[in-house]
Amino acid sequence: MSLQGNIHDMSIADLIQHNCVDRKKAKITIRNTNGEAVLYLNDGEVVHASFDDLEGEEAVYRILAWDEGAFTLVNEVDSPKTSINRSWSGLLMEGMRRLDEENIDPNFDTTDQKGNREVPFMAQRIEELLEEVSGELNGFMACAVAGMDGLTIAQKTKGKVNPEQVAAQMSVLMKLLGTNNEKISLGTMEDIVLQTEDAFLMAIYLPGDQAHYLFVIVDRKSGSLGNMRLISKVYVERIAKAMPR
Amino acid sequence: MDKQNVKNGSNELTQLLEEMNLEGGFPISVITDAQGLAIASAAGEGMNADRQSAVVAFIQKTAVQVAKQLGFSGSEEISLVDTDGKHLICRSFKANNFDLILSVMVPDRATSYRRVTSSAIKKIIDIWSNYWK
Repeated sequence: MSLQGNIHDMSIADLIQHNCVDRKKAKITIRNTNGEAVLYLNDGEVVHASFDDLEGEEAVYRILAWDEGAFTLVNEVDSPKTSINRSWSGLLMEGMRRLDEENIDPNFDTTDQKGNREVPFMAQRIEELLEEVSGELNGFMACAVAGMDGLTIAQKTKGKVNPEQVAAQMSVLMKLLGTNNEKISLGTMEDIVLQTEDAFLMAIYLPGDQAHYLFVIVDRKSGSLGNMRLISKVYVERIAKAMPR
Repeated sequence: MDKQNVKNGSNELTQLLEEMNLEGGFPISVITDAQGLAIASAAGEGMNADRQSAVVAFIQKTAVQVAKQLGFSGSEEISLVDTDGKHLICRSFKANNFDLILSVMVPDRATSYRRVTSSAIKKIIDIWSNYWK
């Protein structure tokens, strides 16, 4: 069975995500004015990719930014080889991180008026604010300020939750949701709340900043969703003020 | 006979969604299966139920995957809120062991959805049991 479409309607990241979650075995061919790229999926992972003279992860990173072109997906095609061993989510994270890096303003200055780096002070101030968040919430499990590259700027945790792992996963989720909001008539995303059987997870963008967000996780048994929302909204403003702009 | 007047499960679900939209002030609501196919929908002008179904299933799959990788049990509800306060709510539930998602678009922060959607989910399960045991 084959499927055809346009990456203007469904991005390459969405294509990978959607078909890997479905654990498809497939060959995806993407063509545009830059040339032809081929991805092979097997058992929920991207196992091989090629574009131009590139193979493996580098081929995927090169094509992730494409926003025009046609794709064809053919199911049940075996990959001729394995050139990628990274998980599909790790692959997308790294690809997105590289895209972000390409878009960073090289003139961005993080020094204060005396020429001292603001970043260490900023991280310390944000950690203090996160400490306050942990004290305000019943059932607190973890919170962190993270960038859309999946890296945490500051974090606070109690118990088994690993904020770095959460940030990596939440960044993938938020990026992919962010590319779909217009399809369902939503505007610029503000926050995402996920309720599982055992926890509430909330990720909220820093005001006016779609590159960083605060996430908070509370235990569902002892925490409350309303309180988590309220505290997150109060503290996201304070954290935004502590970030250098 | 008018298609809408035929008494069957699909028409009852559609009617239920129309009533829920009216009561809750929702511009669109869709019942979707895990594959992203719309089972029933009620949408105002300019709203695309098929597109919402596909995106909702995609969101749900991604969220379940994220929750699993973080060691949490399955996702029950996801809400996406935009800067204007408009939000998409996706509530997962089972009807006769069949995984379903009820998604509604809530137009603003002042509109509550929980009571109305909880009541609708109970009725959907009843209708499902009556027609598709």
